[in-house]
Amino acid sequence: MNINIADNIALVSLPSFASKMTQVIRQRDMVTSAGQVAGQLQLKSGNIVEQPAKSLSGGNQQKVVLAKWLLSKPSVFVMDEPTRGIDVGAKYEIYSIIDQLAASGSGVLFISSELEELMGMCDRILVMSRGEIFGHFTREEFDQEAILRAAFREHGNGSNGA
Amino acid sequence: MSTIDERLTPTVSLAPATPVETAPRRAARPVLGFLQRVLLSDYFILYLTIIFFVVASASFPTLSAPGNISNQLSNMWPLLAVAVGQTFVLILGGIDLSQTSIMAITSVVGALFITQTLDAPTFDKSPLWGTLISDKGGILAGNPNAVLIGVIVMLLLGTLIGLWNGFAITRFKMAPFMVTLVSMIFFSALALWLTASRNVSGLPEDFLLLGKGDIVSVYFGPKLTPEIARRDILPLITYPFMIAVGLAVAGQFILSRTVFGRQMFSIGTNRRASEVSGVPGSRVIMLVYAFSGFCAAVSAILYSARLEIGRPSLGDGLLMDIVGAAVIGGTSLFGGKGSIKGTFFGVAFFVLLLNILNAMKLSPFVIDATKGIVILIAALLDITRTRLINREARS
Repeated sequence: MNINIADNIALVSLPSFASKMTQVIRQRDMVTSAGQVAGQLQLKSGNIVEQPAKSLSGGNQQKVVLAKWLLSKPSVFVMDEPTRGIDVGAKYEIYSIIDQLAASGSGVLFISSELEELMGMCDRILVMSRGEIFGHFTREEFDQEAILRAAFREHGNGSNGA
Repeated sequence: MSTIDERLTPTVSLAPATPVETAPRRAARPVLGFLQRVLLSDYFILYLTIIFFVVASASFPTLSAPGNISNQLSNMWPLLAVAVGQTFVLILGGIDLSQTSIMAITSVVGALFITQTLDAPTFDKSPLWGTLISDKGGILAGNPNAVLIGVIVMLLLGTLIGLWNGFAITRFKMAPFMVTLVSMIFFSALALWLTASRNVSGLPEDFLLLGKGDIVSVYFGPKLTPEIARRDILPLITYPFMIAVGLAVAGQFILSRTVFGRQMFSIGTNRRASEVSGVPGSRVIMLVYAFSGFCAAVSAILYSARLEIGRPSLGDGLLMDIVGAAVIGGTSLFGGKGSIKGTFFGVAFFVLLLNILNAMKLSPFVIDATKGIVILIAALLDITRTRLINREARS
């Protein structure tokens, strides 16, 4: 990603920053909005119009990805391993962002292979094994052993563990 | 487990992000820093062209003669028109080798439509003889709107061939190099076949105006007689100038200001990531190749009108000039980087280079070899510049 941070963040919602007829981008609007989202996510960067996204750390690059979609205001997020390969501090910040999203009414489908993170973040956990849902746990039923059992297809776990 | 529970009640501190130093670190030695700034400047090639011109004028006075300058400027416009299209394709990370043969085929087809006379003994070998063309000229000969229709046909043909390139690249997922190489061979052969390898002359006067009609002309020198000989009047602003510069300005605008332009850069940098982010990759790519074909057709119109013929070998040997001008102007062959402004400077540089080499009376082989070396240096320079920019971004 040699492209600068602002353009990167705005990429998904570009058409919303352009006039319908001429497709000309309102640059100032775009940078302001990108800056707002970057601030909201506490993106640690220099000038977002000049700095290329690839010069950011892994965690901050991940935040740029989040910022892209935040800007387009979706009601459902599907996050596949959002914390993979980033440091502990950045992980914590991503968790906070996800919590904020959920609190503001968005649905979040959080996909992860790290059990602790799922147990910390989720309201419900569905266990997938060999292409089908094999376990279903609500918050009160969270239990590391039971979830792992479901993942390895051992019967009799979870509320309706198949 | 306590650490996990803490996450459930997020204590988000809304402290402002710590500002990061943005000013690039200046090199320790001031001379190096200055050189680096010049090298990284958008106007690097412009500076180089001017220096080159001044130095070379000292040894070859003909270079700065008004007649030569006017002539060289008129050499620039058709090349600029076609290079604008190539720049678009290069920004996508592709390449359009077929531009030269699009120029040949559009030149020939357009000319065959509008020509007013055709010589039977030379053209009766053409497959179109007796149907679309005859000894009375093309099918549009005598039609009052012949030139308008002819130009539209040429532009449409160029655009359609470009669109076909884009379609083959996106739909069949073929390499741009391969698709456009095949188009190049196919359409240049077709152009030769349609005309039985002959140049098509007898184009209407209105069409020729597109190649040389001048709007502002200048006359240098004393006014000795009331009538100034035509060859002493130097056209400065001509129709080709207006057309090519218009196209370039439109191109620059699309690149820098529109959604389409941003999407092009994004695809050129990383197509997969762009498509995941909702950029309609295939559509953008097809349109860009169509635009490239359109630019080639515009260039073909300018060249044909200037040469006063439809020429089946019109773009021969021009490909290196087109790609070279774009690359010298800072457009990266790896995609994601480039500008029409740079290509404009690149075209000026290339035309000047050719002018100087010709003034030195070198053989065509030496000239071609020199052009190749210059493009190689430009490509190396591009890599050096990218490395320097990345180093600045990291520091």
